[in-house]
Amino acid sequence: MDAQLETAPGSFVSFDDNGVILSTNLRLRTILGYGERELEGKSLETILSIGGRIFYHTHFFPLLKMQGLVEEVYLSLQSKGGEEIPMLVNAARRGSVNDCMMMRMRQRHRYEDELVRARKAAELANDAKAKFLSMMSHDLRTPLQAISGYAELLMLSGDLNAEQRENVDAIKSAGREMLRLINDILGFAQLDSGKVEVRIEPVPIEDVLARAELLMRVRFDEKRIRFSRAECADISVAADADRLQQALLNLLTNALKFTPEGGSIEVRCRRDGEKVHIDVRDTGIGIAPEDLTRIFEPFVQVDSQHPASQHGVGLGLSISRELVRAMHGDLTVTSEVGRGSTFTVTLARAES
Amino acid sequence: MTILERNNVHVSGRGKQPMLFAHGFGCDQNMWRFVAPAFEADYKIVLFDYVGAGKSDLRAYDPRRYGDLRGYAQDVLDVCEALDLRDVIFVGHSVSGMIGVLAALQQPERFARLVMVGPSPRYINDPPEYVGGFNRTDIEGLLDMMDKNYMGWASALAPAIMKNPEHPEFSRELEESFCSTDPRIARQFAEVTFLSDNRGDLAGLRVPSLIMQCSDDVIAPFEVGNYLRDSLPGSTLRIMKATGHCPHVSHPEETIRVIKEYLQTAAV
Repeated sequence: MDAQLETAPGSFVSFDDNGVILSTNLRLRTILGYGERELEGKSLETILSIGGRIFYHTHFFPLLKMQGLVEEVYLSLQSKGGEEIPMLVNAARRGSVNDCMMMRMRQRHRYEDELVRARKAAELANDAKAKFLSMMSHDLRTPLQAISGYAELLMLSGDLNAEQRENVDAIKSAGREMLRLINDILGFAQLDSGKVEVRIEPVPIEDVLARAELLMRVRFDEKRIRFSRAECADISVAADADRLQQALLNLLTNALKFTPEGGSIEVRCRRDGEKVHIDVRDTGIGIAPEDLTRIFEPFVQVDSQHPASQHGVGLGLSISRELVRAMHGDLTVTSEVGRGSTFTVTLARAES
Repeated sequence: MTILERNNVHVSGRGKQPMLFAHGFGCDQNMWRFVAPAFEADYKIVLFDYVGAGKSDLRAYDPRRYGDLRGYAQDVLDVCEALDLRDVIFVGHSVSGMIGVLAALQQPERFARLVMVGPSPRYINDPPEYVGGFNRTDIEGLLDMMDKNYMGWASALAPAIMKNPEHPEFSRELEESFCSTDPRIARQFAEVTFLSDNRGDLAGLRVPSLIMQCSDDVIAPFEVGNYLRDSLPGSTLRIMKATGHCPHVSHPEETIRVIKEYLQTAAV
């Protein structure tokens, strides 16, 4: 070994594919408490902690052998006295010899422990949040159903004057709106906590679309939206019929919200090998390129100034994408500001 | 999504009898790249990644299913069924040895032979009778190291990002780094692997098996190889010159030779 490497301010070890140490430098021997020539010929495992040995065999060595290079790996060594020494390791192959340069981690090691703990705590908190949302929306639904139910009874009692009827109508319509919000939050919480179960089977797209259209018809007519669907007959996809309908309804509701009166919404299917794309195209306000990825994030409303954004909490698209992904598909979007947007559901084709 | 996509299945080879290669805990099917080609002339080679590893579809990962090695065994059976594989020679590294045993217990008629490279039915010592090689605290050390490496600092093991058409650059990154996966998945696989105890499953195996025991393997020491030979009906133990835990990576020639010899004698 040349003199510079021997005394370099970093630890060095080389070993062969049998894990036999070929050479070490002064720094490494000093840190580990070994004398000159004491490590040569010994197994690399001599200087690894027990956890480090498993990690070496299951990750480090296979990566190094196959990629020829491993960088920035945290590996825990063991001194002669049995003390664990955390190291940051870069390794490279030179023919059939493996060279490792290592930097000892002292403070940084503890700091990284804290980061890992913080990240885990954040993940736990996120799980707790999802659980809380789910529980809360369940709990809110019960009294809300009572409010709506009693408003309905009041209406049916027949003794109301015009003004009272109007007031009860307002209660009912606010109740409906609130139920929709709660259902959105509940749906999101379920998806977020991975609790949604999907039953994948061949689903004829035409059936799902016909049902969705039936549910949307009145609202389309109110806004004089031309709705059409094309080329979806006789195509089936691998999906959960209810979840697919939910996702498509979300997309149609969204399209309706952002398409001005007299515009048009079209659903068209495209076969693409083993996949099927379902395009939901509108002539709405469109989405700016910089917002295209954000719109799928939960609780994001791209244009909160737009009157249509006032309804809803910004969960529809996020939920739809999670639903489609739960069915092993994907939801993507293309859009042009002022011209409209096309949301595309891609799913595996199925034999009907 | 089909099983073949889900498990990133690759089929090659010119033979009829299938050899199904199953990777162990850590990386993915790439681990077989020095060994599998040697069998292409005579066998149909099937390579796959368990859900959660390599280029499998991470969306199919269900912590309940994969909270038990039986979930992984179901991956093996799913692949067999998807390709209608029969008379299968199953070659499993490390934890895949036991995954193969579990699969063969469920559908013995599908399998002709099990070849296990560095298997262990239990990694943790169970004194006084059983030596697995590790104590529970040792496994904690491993999990700690995995957390640190998977959670972001090691570029080799950077957290995998789901195949994402909006970010093709992330997908590329994933392809280049075949030991990377989601940190939570990797951690759960480590726990499921190293805390498993399959000693009770051994006696029921009806498929002949080869135990390939490396010299000086800390993960599966000699005691474990001997225990398996004594507990698995119809098993053959071969001690290899290769050291370490990954002979198919470190000593592919010997690995190929030992498997070929076993298959030839077994065929008689």
